Amino acid sequence: MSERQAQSFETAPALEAGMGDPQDYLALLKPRVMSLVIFTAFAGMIAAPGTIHPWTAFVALLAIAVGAGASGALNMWYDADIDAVMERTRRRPLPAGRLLAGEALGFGLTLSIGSVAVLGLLVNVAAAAILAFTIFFYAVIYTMWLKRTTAQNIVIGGAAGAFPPMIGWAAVTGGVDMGSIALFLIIFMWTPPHFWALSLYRQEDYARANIPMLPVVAGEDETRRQILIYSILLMPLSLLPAALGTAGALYVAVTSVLGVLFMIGAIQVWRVREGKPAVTAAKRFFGFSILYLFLVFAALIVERVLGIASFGALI
Amino acid sequence: MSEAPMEYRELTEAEKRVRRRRSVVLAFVLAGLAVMFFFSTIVRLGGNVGERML
Repeated sequence: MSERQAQSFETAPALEAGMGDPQDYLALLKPRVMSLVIFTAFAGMIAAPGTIHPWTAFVALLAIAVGAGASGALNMWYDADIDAVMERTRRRPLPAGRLLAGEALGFGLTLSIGSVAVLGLLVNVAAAAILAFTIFFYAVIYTMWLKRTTAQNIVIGGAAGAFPPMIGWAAVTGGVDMGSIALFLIIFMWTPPHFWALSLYRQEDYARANIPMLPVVAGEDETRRQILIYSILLMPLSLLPAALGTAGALYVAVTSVLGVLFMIGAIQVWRVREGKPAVTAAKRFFGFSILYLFLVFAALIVERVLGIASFGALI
Repeated sequence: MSEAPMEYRELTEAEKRVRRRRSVVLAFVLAGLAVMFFFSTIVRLGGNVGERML
């Protein structure tokens, strides 16, 4: 436990072990993040070539969701010290003193092992291996290492959030191929502009917690420039599933329109740099980025459900 | 080496309610796991039960 972690626990209300409410344990799982994980994993599953029994698909989604939640619990265990000083996170169960650190750690580890075991035993080993790696990547590589040491934390750490469609895909096919890598790349490239938009108007929080987010260490202008660069890179990548034959015309149409709107938002963030309008632009872009990812993957799902044929692989 | 005796105290009504809620959630989770393993076994067995070597 770091010195800062110890200090934050001294300021939290005194509590005893075993007093946590089920709601607190649920909060450790980061339910909102979990819902996006379930959705993108489902999209990966439905876009994958091949079939899966509906019950097995349900079990796979449940295991992926619990695995994602487990990594959230491990993240909250390790980050309790910085969560305590950030406005956005100070009401979480650990900094608020509703749960003990050991309880969060035990909960996270139990669910991690359980979710990987269930996925491996009831679905397939490939999906379980990627889930295990995802949990390790988020809890150890991102949370324990990158988050506090580099401004590239969410660029590399974003991979953790990009794995779920790959796990869903592997649950169907038993492996990894270009189609699932394309879905991974979309989320991977989407994550930096999404989080940097948030960090633009939450940078005081990050500075107080000593987290080297890009606006804190490189300044707002550089962050706006990076948001624009990653947004430009995201546009062609978002069409990769169509080029690979995973998606069809509806996906291309929806993604193209959304891509234009995403670029407009990124340009707004880049151009409007002063005062309240700048904060509004960043907040709008952050909100739209969530809608963007949701609709891109929804297009993939709708196409498959409607049985609309893809173009066939172009590359 | 003797350890200091552990002190016990009566839980408050609020703490008892929370403990009960935790117990109920755990019961549902365990029941859910049992159902999940049962149906997954059936699904994985599929038609193979009828074709097995006797």
